[in-house]
Amino acid sequence: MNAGSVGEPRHGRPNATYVIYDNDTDQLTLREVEYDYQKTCAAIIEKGLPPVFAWRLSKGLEYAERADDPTHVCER
Amino acid sequence: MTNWVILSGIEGNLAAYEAVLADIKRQRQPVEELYILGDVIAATHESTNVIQRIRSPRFNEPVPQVCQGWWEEQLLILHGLGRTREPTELIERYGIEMVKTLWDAIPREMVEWVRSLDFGFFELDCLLIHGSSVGVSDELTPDTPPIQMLDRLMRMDANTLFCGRSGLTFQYEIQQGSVTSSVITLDQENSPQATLVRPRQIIGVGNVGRIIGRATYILYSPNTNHIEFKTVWYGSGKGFQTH
Repeated sequence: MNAGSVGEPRHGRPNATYVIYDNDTDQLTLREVEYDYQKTCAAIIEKGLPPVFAWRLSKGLEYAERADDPTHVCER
Repeated sequence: MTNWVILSGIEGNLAAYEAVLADIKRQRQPVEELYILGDVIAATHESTNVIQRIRSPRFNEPVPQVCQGWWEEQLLILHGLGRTREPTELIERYGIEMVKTLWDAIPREMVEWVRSLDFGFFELDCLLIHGSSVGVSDELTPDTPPIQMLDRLMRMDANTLFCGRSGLTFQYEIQQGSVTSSVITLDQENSPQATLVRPRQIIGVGNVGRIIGRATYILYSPNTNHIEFKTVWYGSGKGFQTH
């Protein structure tokens, strides 16, 4: 069981992911939550952090070579 | 047809190593490679003679290929060159006084040679290593569960793993098996998939120097995959008997 990532998801979408585990039934539920990630991307750029961090968050991907958009810059 | 000689655990016992070298010379098939899977040294001054002997093979002797063993790792840790800062395993196994004994036994100029040794070798489809693909302390024995054995093989995708940590001689065959798995992700749920395990094996190559008067090693033919366990009896009154 991999709990995913809230702040740096890598499943191809920017939504936060986590899991709910019921230890009575041994059942696992995978959860994906939308939020205003563009606000976070904008904050990354404004703070002067490398733009690729914002790109990764906006795409939910690790590697730049997977990008459709090669500029790697998040739209503000 | 050529053979590989594979041995481990000389542990500073030069007489035992000489007995094995003499036995190798008596083999009918030529020996192409000599692999020494660690523990060349132990906490004895005689270890320096073994290192010198290994580094200076005589005419018509194979040039040994040596990898690090448990004792070599403990030595490197003492000199601040190991993967951990404290010689915890050494102390737990032999007590605190062994730290000084080992430090005094191996001169500083030989530490560089120990440091230069490989962690292991991968030749053809064979992994040759002291412990396992996990580390030099990983002790594989005939009682190790097959899932654990398979894990050690799969980490390096080897068909045969030669190891020496246990000092035992054994041939452990994973003959067949399958693992059925299914994966659920946020986007999809895959139906169960079965993965077949192809035959693989783990070979314990024995120990040369730990038991006085008796050395064990193996001969391996990479062409036929044939393994021969060798025992050499040596010492006063015994000559170099083998079987």
